[in-house]
Amino acid sequence: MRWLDYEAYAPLAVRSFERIADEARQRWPDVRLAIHHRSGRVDVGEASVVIAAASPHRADAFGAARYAIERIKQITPIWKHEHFDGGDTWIEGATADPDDEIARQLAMERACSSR
Amino acid sequence: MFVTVKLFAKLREIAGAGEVRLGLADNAVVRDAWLTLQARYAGIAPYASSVSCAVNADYSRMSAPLREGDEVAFLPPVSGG
Repeated sequence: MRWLDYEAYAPLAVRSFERIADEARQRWPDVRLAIHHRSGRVDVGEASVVIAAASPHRADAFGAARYAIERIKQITPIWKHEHFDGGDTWIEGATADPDDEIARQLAMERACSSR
Repeated sequence: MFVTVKLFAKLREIAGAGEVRLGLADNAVVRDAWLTLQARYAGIAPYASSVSCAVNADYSRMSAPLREGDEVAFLPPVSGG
């Protein structure tokens, strides 16, 4: 791969981050989250997402951060466009449905396991 | 009524436009906007079962009613992170 381009529907992406932070607050009331995602060109090896979690207890911070990244992948309207020598491809993952309780539960299970 | 439709990623590429203005019946719902688009850009049809939607930059449903001037967004499966 040569580089990535991220395309975002920015106003809804920001709303999705607020929604994810609200969901995390229900499970970890003492955790405060800050979520950032790059858009546009991102070179190989560069970070595309920053999630900062502040908490009195480290396990809660790690759990909430893990939950946030899982939910971003499920519902945030951002698309990854991979560029190769001689071609490119859009990556398509989850159908974005914030009310899909099964997906939300899966994100919570991943956040609450140590793996 | 007229609505503005925003398309992203592969959907935008297939349609050749990130923003499309659509004339719809006054009682139209989001699904009507999708079907109208599909009639114009047949290549988007494979996304009918995986696309999701937003109205005025908030998550919505295909059954949601539309109003004059709404911004409808169709979202192919997402891949952030």
